[in-house]
Amino acid sequence: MNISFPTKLLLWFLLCMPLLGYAQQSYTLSGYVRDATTGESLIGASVFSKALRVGTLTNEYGFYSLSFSQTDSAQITFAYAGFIPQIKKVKLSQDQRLDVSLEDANATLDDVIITGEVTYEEEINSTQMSVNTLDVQDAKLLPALFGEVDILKTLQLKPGVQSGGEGTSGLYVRGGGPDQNLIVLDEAIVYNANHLFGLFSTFNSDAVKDVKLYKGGFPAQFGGRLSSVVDVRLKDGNRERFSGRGGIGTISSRLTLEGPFNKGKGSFIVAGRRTYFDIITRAINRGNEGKEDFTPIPDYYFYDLNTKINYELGENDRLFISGYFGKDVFGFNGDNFDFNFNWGNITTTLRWNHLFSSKLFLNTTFTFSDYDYVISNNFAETFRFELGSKIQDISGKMDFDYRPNNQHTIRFGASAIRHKFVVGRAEIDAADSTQNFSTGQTLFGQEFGVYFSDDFVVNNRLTLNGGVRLSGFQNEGKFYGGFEPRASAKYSVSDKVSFKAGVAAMSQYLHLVSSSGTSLPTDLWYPSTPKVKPQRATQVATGVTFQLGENFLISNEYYYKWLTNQIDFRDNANLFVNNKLEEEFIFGKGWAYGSEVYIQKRKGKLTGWIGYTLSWSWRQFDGSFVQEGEPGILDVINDGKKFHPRYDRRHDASVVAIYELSKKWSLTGAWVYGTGNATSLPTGRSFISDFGTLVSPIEGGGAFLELFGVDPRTVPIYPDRNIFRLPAYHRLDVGLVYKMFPKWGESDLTLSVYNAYNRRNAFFIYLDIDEDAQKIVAKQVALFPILPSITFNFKF
Amino acid sequence: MKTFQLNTSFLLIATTAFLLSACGSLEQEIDLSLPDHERQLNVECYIIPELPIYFLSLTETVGFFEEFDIPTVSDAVVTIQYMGQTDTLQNVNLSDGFPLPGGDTIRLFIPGAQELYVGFRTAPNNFDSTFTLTVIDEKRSRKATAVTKMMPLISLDGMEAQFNDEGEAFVLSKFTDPPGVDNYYRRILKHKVPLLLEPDTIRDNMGQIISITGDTVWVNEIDQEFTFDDQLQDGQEILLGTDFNYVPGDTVISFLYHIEKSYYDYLVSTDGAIIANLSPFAQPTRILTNIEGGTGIFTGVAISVDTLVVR
Repeated sequence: MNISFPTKLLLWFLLCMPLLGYAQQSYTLSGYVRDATTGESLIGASVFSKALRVGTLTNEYGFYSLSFSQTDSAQITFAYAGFIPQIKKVKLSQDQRLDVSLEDANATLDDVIITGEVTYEEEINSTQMSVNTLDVQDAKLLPALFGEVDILKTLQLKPGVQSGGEGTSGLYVRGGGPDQNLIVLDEAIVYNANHLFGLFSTFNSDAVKDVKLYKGGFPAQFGGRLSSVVDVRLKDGNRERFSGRGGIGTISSRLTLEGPFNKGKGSFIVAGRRTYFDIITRAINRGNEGKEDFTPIPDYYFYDLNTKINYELGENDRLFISGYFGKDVFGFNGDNFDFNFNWGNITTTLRWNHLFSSKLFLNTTFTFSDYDYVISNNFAETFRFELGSKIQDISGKMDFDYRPNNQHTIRFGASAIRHKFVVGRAEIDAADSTQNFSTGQTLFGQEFGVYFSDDFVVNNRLTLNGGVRLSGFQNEGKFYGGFEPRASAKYSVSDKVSFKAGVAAMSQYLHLVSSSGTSLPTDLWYPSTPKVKPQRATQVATGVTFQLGENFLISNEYYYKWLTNQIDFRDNANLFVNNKLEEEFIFGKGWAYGSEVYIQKRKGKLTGWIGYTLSWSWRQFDGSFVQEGEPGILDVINDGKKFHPRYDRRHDASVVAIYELSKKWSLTGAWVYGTGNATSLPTGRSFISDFGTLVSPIEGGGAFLELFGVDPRTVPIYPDRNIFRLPAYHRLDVGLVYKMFPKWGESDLTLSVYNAYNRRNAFFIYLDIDEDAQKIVAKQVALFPILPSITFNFKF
Repeated sequence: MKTFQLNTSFLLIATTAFLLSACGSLEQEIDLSLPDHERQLNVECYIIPELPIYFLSLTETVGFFEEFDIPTVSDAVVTIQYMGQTDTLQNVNLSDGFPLPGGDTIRLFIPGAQELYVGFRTAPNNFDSTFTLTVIDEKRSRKATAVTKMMPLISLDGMEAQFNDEGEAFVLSKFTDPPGVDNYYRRILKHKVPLLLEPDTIRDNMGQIISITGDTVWVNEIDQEFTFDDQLQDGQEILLGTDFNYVPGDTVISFLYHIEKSYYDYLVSTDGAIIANLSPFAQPTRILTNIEGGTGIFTGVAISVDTLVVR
């Protein structure tokens, strides 16, 4: 194998990095940082000594490791946003274990606001760029559609992240498609993170501890998607006492219970949520039963359940078992039919944390993920048909976190996933067993990855991160490999200003088959095969992060992303029951570029952020993938010319504010603005009389014309794809939170007003032909007017 | 096996309807400026064996907001050539009536059509000959051409009704798909319904008197229409089902069109374009046509028909 010079240089660099900085004798302080009230481990808490100029952050399990090159005493500060920092005096003459619990600053009942020490050190000093961390507590305060707190929709308010459309929780990150986001819940992949056709996400905010969105500069441990990683971590459960929280909202209610067991060695959490549309619609249906002009309303509800148990096997071993089970259920019954449409995810994660030493941490994970949808109909118990698809994963991985000294944070590991795909399964049965028929494909694929990365603090100003991920995918005897270098650098001009740059290559071996511009439950996943090559992307990004005064953190990033083997579908593709699905695929390339500005304020009574993104996204399907002969009309899109995907958005802005009026009252608001989605509209029309359907053959020869056939119809003629724009989208949501402090705990009433100035944002535009009035008009359809809602939340 | 049409269109429409059910008055007319549309010839012609006449509709495509009535093209030269013969079709106005070769004059009612080009020849059951269409619109310097072949007949093998406890019946039609080749079908199901008319002399479309003094005639109304292929059922017996829509005494007529791939693509793509205009979830598509220099369809179609009186 020929290895290019730049690649050799990178490999040499990666191999040598850990060897640097080993010279001195050092002692290590390590342990866990936790929430004193609940015992939850705190992810990303700062552990540092100002005097010695050393510091680190806790990892995904709240673990830290900090080394000292001298034995005299030091004052170590433990800090986390929203918590009261603690300073511990330690004397190091040997490696030491120190677990620290921080008090929640908001846990006091005094009418005084204590926000704890909030620092922007992580954002300024980390080599990691293009990452957004979501504060779940803030997300809960923000106004939301129907009052349903939705962490994916809150992520859409961050720069570089766009929504697919009004009210939907799909993510479009830096010009990438909706299938290019790796969404993991406790490290298990969630394949469809939506309820109700994308109006709500599958994550119950009461059960979520931490959310990180990586838009670029992907850490080497992540792979398999091109555009983003959404890393969602569930709470571990209260280790100190039995507690609960919940809420009663406009469309759903939820309840979470958590507590310790075996004297605090273990804890559990169970969180459930269910909507109650169906209870209301069933009552309406019962009230109108028997009325001739009444059409029954279909049943719909969704529910989800999160569970997690963790247990300390010993000082150095901890076990976690977590699960998610969610389902959407749609049913419609008539006299002679029983139609059902159900879809949902199941994920299970088993993790074992092991501390080999104060410097070496191992996380071993086994996961199970399943997503499927089933559409079924029974015709008067005589015929039954069922249509569905499924993806099911079993995976195992090991992630090592090695901190030999304060200059190096080394991560390495390996993963393997076995995918099973059931594509376009259809079954048809007759009750009398005379007719039975089934079709569909079952495919398997094996995905592998090994990675290594080192975060190397060269000096107080310069930090380098180098890594590489080697990935592979095997299916139908075909093996695809991926070499995915990851590198980034941070240079601090001062304590408050740093410049960053990074490059990351990604490979994606699974593809979402979707004919629509939004997430539908019927979208299905399809593996790379000998004909369907993996999608690849390379992204470069650079930016500056600086602290303005004491309160503001400003970052500005620029990115460019190249995408190859992008998948689209031939015009009129049949994506359902089709045993030759691959023949409907066409392949092209894409590229996206833009700039993001992010201004955060996390201190004081007024907190929030302003985000602005200027971006371009392009796709081109010119038939260059066609192996033999000239590409046909169905092998290209827009005659091979480049075009904008639907979610290309020139300007995207958001302003989010939370104003804590007092300990009891908070005022919140979010305003969003976005260039209208690219869309296709017909510019012409033709007419089909369809008079061929008037013909009726006569037995014995001949034919005649009947009076009635299929109705004539007007057919819209579409020009090139996505050359029009919907009107600009903007919306203001406001909320008011009133907190109460009864003896049994806390509660609040949250009033949300979605679309406060009642703007009719275009969901889509269609052209309407009124045959009676002989008039043709354009009509714009909006989804949501002003929508107030109220939610009662409690915890004890 | 039974063929049920649960396809993308159904799901897109269902999804759209579900989401828009809460919209109410959230729909409003807007001003929209569209770019100019270059008009094209739009041809529609079906070659059907045993029919002693063939028709061709020639219209123009128009800009979406242009005149409401689709303009017809009356002065083109239209020829169909097959088996070494060239027929020149004549333009006729349907409301005026036109003479048949035998001397009779007939008036045709074809929904949506004011005038047609007609040729008087019984298309043969010849599956090897190529039919070539040429349309020359000299005034506007346009020319459209297309070729097609007659499709072999695939016969329906019978129909039957099955009843539920309420005495309602569904109807099954069956046929056997020829193995080893890709076949495309259009299925149409009609049933007889009474049509109330003013007392008059009523003739059918071939000029036959079907009612003189009565005010009720029986016509065939469409219950079901869809297209499908044999990808999943190659060489098998295929059953085409209905809902429990029928009661004893109903007359149900089942049509099976054996169609070319180009006609199948045309039907699917035109349906797709119509749905795309109404659904935000559908991907707009271009119309797939076999007309060079224009749009529309020129195709041979073989139709099998069967009738069942439900008992």
